[in-house]
Amino acid sequence: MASISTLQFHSLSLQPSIWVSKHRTPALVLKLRPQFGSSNSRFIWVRRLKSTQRFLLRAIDGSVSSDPSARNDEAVKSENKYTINLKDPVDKLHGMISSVSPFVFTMRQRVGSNLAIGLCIATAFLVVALRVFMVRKSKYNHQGSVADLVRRGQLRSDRRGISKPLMYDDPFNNPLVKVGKGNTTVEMCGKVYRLAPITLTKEEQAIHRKRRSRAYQWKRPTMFLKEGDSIPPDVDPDTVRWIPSNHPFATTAGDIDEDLAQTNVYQKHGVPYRIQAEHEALRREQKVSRLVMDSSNATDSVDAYKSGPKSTEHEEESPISNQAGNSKPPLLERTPNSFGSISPSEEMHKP
Amino acid sequence: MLALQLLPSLNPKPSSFTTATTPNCPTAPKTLPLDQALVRDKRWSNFELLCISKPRSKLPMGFGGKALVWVVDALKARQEGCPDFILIDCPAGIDAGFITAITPANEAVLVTTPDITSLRDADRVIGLLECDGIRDIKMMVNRVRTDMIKGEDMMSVLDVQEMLGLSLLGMIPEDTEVIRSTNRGYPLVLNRPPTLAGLAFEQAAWRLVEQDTMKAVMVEEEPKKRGFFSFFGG
Repeated sequence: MASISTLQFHSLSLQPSIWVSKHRTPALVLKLRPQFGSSNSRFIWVRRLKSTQRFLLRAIDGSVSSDPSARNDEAVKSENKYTINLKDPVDKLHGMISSVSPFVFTMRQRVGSNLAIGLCIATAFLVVALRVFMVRKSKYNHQGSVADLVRRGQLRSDRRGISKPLMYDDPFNNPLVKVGKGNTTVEMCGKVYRLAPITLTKEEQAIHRKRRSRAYQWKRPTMFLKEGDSIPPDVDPDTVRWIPSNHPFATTAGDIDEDLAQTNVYQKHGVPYRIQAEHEALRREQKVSRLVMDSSNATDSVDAYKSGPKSTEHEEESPISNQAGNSKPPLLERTPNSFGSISPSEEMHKP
Repeated sequence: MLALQLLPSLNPKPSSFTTATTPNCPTAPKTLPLDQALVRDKRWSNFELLCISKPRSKLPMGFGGKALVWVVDALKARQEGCPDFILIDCPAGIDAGFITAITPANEAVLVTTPDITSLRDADRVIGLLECDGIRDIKMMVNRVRTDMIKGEDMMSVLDVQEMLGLSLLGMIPEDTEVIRSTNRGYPLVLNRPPTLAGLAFEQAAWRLVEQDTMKAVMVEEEPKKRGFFSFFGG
């Protein structure tokens, strides 16, 4: 509320100040002052008001009053003003403050310059933000627009980015490759690269060539033979290239027997079928061995028949166990069991 | 200019490309006119591609060095005239494909990357080429990253040259545009705006034509001179 009232006073006080400046009656203002100076806040406001008034007075005096007699009158009036002011302690203070008025004026000037600096910074930020926004927008538009054109069929996607080849007479004077002064830098695609001269000499090349001739002794193979073939008598063995029999280059059309490829049922169904066939063969083998064992030990076979379902279950489990590991160990495990030490059937008969 | 592409025989290709043999090749059961087998580039009418692969099941003939010499001779004897360059793309490694590819070659361009494993392999390949009588060997260093060279995380082109002792045909900086243009199926050198790798390729091609070599190489990127208003993005 205080600020609002101050504002109101300020707006009201402008009129008397102008009026005072026009009619050159500072005495009226001096009479008004004690009315304003009742509280601290108002006092501060009055101080501002007074300085403003004085400033306005001086400015108008400088521009309007040209004759020296008028100036003298004004000086007399101002002296009168100060003398009247000194009677009141509040006016003393006013006098002090009025003496500091040039400082206040400079402060105001500085405030004005700060405002200008702030305005400049704000403008700069605005320009930067606008530039970033424009760059992003243009980039987005560029990509999106071409993509949209391709999608709409207005631009063929297979001709994107393709134009006429650059024609220039001197191949080593490409305008897109700008070599800097002294051949120390090169500019390509907007980037500047530092150049370093080639230091390889003919002597160094010869040294490398000699090193390689010692390191690599090679003759071009003139004959490709598969492993197991015999070398023809008139062929240098160094020029024979031995190709492993499973190498794709070693397989020629003559090696492929189409009949075998058609009738090879094991290969026809791939690896799982072959594994299945192996398991079936193993099971058959196990059955045969079991039959042999049953004929040799009649009691065991009777027990085995009594516990028939279990044994068949065990038989069915065996291929699964064989699948997981080696096929031989289950067979070996089963054989001593059947011959007698501890079999599942015996375990059942035990109490 | 003509580029021959030797493909490994594992992937069967369409028959129009695979059975590209010359008319005077005696062992070919099916002969296709060479003009039909050559794939002409739609942008450059004087640039043609010939894909050669060895069909395993259809052609009972190993496509070896002798067959490639026949192809090259046939290309030279064409009515349109002898091509300026026949570039034979050599398969990686030192295998039968390598021997086939180098058989008709007069000179070689070795492409390597600046890492130690590639350089050892490259040194061996150069040794084999020199043993075979190919002495005119130039080198191209591919996928060079100047920022890594500056941080001493990658060998510079000069280091590579010191290790191999070959004259330098070109230096290709690492560029994502290479992958993009490959996938798009367009030559990198025709890209507009020009790319860094495209310009480097073009320069290398000019050196090949002019039988020139590099005199200076890019080492590192110079830092940009920052202006007074660089803080504000200027």
